[in-house]
Amino acid sequence: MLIDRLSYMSRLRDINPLLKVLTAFFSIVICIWADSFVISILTLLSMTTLITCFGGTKIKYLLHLMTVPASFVMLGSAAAVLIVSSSRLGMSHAFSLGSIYIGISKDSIITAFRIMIKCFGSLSCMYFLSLTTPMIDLFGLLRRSILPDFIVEIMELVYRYIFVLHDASDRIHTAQDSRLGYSSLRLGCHSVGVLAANVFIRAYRQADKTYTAMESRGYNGEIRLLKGKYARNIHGYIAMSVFVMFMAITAIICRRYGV
Amino acid sequence: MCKMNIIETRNLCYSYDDEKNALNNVSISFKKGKITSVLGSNGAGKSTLFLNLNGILVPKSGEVWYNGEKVIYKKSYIRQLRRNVGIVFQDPDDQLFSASVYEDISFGAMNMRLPADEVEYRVNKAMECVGIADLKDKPTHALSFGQKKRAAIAGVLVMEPKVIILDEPTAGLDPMGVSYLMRLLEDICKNNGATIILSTHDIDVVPIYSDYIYVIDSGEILTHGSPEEIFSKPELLREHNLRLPRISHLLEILNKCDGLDVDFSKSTISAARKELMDLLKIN
Repeated sequence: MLIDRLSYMSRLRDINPLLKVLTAFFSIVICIWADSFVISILTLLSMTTLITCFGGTKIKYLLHLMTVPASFVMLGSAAAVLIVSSSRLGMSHAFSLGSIYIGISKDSIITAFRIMIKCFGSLSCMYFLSLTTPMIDLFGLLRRSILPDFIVEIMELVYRYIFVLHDASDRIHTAQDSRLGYSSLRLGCHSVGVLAANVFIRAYRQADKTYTAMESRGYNGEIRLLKGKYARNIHGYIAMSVFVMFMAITAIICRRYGV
Repeated sequence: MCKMNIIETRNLCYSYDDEKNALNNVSISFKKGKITSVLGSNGAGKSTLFLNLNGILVPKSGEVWYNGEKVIYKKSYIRQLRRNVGIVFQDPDDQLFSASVYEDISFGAMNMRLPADEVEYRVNKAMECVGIADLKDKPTHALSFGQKKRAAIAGVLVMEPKVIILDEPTAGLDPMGVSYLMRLLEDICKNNGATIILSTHDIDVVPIYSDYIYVIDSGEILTHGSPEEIFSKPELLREHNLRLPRISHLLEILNKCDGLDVDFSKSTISAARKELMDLLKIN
């Protein structure tokens, strides 16, 4: 869980999560709305700067994380390169399939490239949020939002027990592997099935035990927790506003000139 | 009811399936401000007993008494009981349900509807008490087993219970972790005046920290007494899959096989040392 670990180590972790959510939100909205090379690249650069220079996350981790969705982005953009039409008009290279033409044009390549850069720009905003804001801080924010409490409670419990069950499945896997459970494809399939069943049973028992433990600490249907407080960060809000304004104005200009 | 006893049961029976009694006529009492150990092999009924003591399980017959009052199985009364009788469960992952250590520890105190600043004060105090103040901002899953165990204890301490029950507190801890934890429990007992009840398989630490011992097997109390009294009956312990502390065992062998005049109910290093030194002086 690389992202999770990095988010707790980030130097930007102690900043009010609302500020970070707003920064990511506005940046992503502007990036998508502007649909421009300049804005996409500006977003990508500024978010990378925030994550690495201000947050202290190593650039190699960020690059590694970017490669995960990169294949999807590439495939998606590749689809935009191809144009399908009944006439060959405007296509620089094409081949025909019966009465339709499939080909590429200068415009379609530019469009595909624009989409790709826009995707990476938007991704960088999401990574900014997830690499600087741990889940537990986000839950605090969500509890104060309009979301019903029980949904946030479920999210919190799921997040917590993912790690517990992940550990359990890891241990079962090791135990199976050390007794040759994965020595052939057939055995492997069988072992995975047993593992899944076991983890499921464990999850069920875990729920029972956790409920008992919660009851003994006075649980009565509502999870009430003391939420951490954040210092009011006026400078942060001013910095964010300036950044968002700058991006918005640049976006308007870029849209007018279509760059 | 003796005023000295903070919690006791009278002829308590409990059954999970109505066929076999997990607890059979258990009458047990715990002295106020003392550390009492409950010994028993796996499946002896220790955990079932503990869950009966704070109203998680409702006895089939018999009574539970808390602080001179008979426990009534009414919602409001049980809530009060749980506030006063806290349980630290064996596996900290069962207990720590929140991803944030700080928030998890606040849970019990928040359920008592205390004002936020009081909760904050208690959480900080509890974290300092168990020595995890520096883990305040850590996610639960980043903690080591020993740290989780301490966080679980802090989560019970915030309720400032009169009785703290610990199910196998030493299980899975390294030697340093065990000494640290047991010393911590002694401090809590002394400084907060809390009564501590614990179950353990770690027989060697039992005589060091226990004021009183109960031995149970198959849901019944076999014997009880001070550590000296319990460890002077090695046959009974062995019959029920328990053993003497190593120190007592050594003294027992010296006594029975080598004919030395030593008292094998002595079960701590200092007591055994005195016993042996006395013997050397005589000769």
